[in-house]
Amino acid sequence: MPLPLVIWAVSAAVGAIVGARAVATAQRNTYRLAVLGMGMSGKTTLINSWRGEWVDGDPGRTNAPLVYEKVKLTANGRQLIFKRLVDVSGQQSAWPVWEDRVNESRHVLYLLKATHLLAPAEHRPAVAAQAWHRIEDDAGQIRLWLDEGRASLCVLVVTHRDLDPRFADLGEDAYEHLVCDQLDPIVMKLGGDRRVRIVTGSLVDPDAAAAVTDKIMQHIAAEER
Amino acid sequence: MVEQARLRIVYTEFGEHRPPVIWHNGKFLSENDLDARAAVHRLFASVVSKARRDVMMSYGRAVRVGPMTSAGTLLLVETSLSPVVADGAPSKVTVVVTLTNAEPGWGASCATHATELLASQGVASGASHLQHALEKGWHATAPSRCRTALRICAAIHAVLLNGRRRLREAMGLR
Repeated sequence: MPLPLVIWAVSAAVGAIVGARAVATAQRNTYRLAVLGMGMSGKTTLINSWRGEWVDGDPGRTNAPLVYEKVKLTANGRQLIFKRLVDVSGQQSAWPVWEDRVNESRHVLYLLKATHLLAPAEHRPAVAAQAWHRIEDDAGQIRLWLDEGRASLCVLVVTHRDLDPRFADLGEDAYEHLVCDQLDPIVMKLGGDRRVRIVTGSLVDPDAAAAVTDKIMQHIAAEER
Repeated sequence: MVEQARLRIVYTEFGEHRPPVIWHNGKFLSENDLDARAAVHRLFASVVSKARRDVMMSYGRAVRVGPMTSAGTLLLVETSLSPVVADGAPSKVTVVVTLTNAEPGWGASCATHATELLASQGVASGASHLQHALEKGWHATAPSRCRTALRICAAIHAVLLNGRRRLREAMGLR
């Protein structure tokens, strides 16, 4: 066999292998996420942190959805791509938009504020009760969409942990246990431990948001394995 | 007289304790009218997904869809209502208008109408700020001449290519 032909064949084979591996890696690191949650739960802040567009203070309310076709970020040392990320309104009347998101996504993040988990005595009773009912309603609805759609995992992301006085008292591990116990009825409503994971954190600054993202992606990566 | 600009939706959200104010097609939607409220969110999603231009500008966000055949061009503008603060969050107002012809004064009339509607619900907003947001949004989302020219060239090219292929087929050439 002539030498140039051998060189050509070897380089073609190496190129094919490298190309196939690059495609496989890109596919492995590409995610379709639905980011849901009540108003002011931190959806926009979390998405902005992924986009590297941190806004000091409150970004305000999301009325019409914002679509980001491709968001590149690094979490747990991995380069990730979030495809067709949509920042949606947290209103209950936006459920049809949420449903579309769940149907188009493989993983669902449901954000809720830690202060909504405070016992009525520690918080404004009416607000806590109202928020809890809303979380229950959302969970019931998301369960239906999960059953119908192709999303395989729902991550409950408890945000604003820094505003929950119990966090300072208990420390991280005990606080997470407490929150997991509190969210047990919601987890059951969403389909049980097999389908639901819980993450707690804060979105007070970009580092805190990155830590929340790392935890979320650990669960998603573990589920994919 | 042909209507040039028509206000379709005025939407603003508050804190956790007050439902959004939604005015859609001539009436305020009640808090319990979840279907009508959901229809507004569906419309927002539809506008955003069909958007020809979705731009961020100093006055906020503008999204343009169309022109559509009967209703004209649809413009969604989202701008801040800086004097209004709810639960520490600055409120935004989202306004959707349909335009058949952007004659002078359309922005002022829509902004005045929207401001009056918001005022009737106890929401203070500046008509001039809203007018600027609408008019800047309309200009910011205008299709660029260069893009239009390229689209026309592509269409002509496609027609010529198709014609050449059909001619060759008719002549029995491949």
